[in-house]
Amino acid sequence: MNPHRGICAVLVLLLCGGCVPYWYTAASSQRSPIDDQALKFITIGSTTMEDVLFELGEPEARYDAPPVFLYRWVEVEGVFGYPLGGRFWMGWTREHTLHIGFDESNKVTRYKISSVELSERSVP
Amino acid sequence: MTLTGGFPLAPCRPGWLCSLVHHLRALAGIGIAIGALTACGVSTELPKESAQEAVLLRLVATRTDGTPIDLFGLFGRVGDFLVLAENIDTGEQMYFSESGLPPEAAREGWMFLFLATGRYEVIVKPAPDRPASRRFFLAVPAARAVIYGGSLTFTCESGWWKGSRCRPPSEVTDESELAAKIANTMPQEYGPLVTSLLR
Repeated sequence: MNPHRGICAVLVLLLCGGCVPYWYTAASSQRSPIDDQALKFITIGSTTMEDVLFELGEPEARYDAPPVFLYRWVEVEGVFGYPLGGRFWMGWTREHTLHIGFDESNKVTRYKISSVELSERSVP
Repeated sequence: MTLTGGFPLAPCRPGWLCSLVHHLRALAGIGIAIGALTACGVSTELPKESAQEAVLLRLVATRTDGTPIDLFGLFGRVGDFLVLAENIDTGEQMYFSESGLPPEAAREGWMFLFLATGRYEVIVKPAPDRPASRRFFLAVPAARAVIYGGSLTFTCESGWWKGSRCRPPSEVTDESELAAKIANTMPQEYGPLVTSLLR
């Protein structure tokens, strides 16, 4: 959780005044979220492009010279509350990208997950 | 107890030793403040690094009937358009900004960013509170030049306000001649203009 979310969570807790906020996370893209557990099969320098395609399927985008696969998925995360008979909702839509780079012999050289905040909305 | 330089100070007898302690504590407070700003992502360094290129883009907004929309209102920039460059190989992300450009160029929608040579996806969003976005590919060559990536047009419905009723741009237009004029206003060290359009 990034610091902004932590601050928002504390604010929500203060605003709710006795209600019980409910955190949720849901995938909202065709691809399921890829977590660290799903990437355990990768060993830098030995895992091949074929191994990656077998485990993760076709990437959402691929570039050549040097080859890079980009896998993308979207997650919606938020918090609900019902303060004093009203309704409170705050949510974030984030797009995650897994970057997997390969060398000239198609072995994995690096991988990293980056994220972009697509939207941040609240309904008081 | 008083507060100086962010530190609670115990009272001490007036004298040079007490004064020295106060000054040292104040200096430590300033050091910690700079450290905290750096840790929060506030850069305390100059923006340009030797191996980076200055990349120029232009954002244009029009209504559905084609009439242009002024990106700046009475109180500054109206639109909340976001333009983010993500390095394809490393995942590193940086935002384009109009800061540092001449005010006239910023008013015309020009934005720029220092990027290292490499391959990027440029993510363009009309508004931060809507998930609508579009990705383009950008190659940043080692040109020692001002790289012009193209002009992007948002189409907005009537009643447009803060980008919430705009669609992400679908195509890139080439305004290299205008970009060359903007590049001429930038310091000579950035070099001549090279066009490397988003695609």
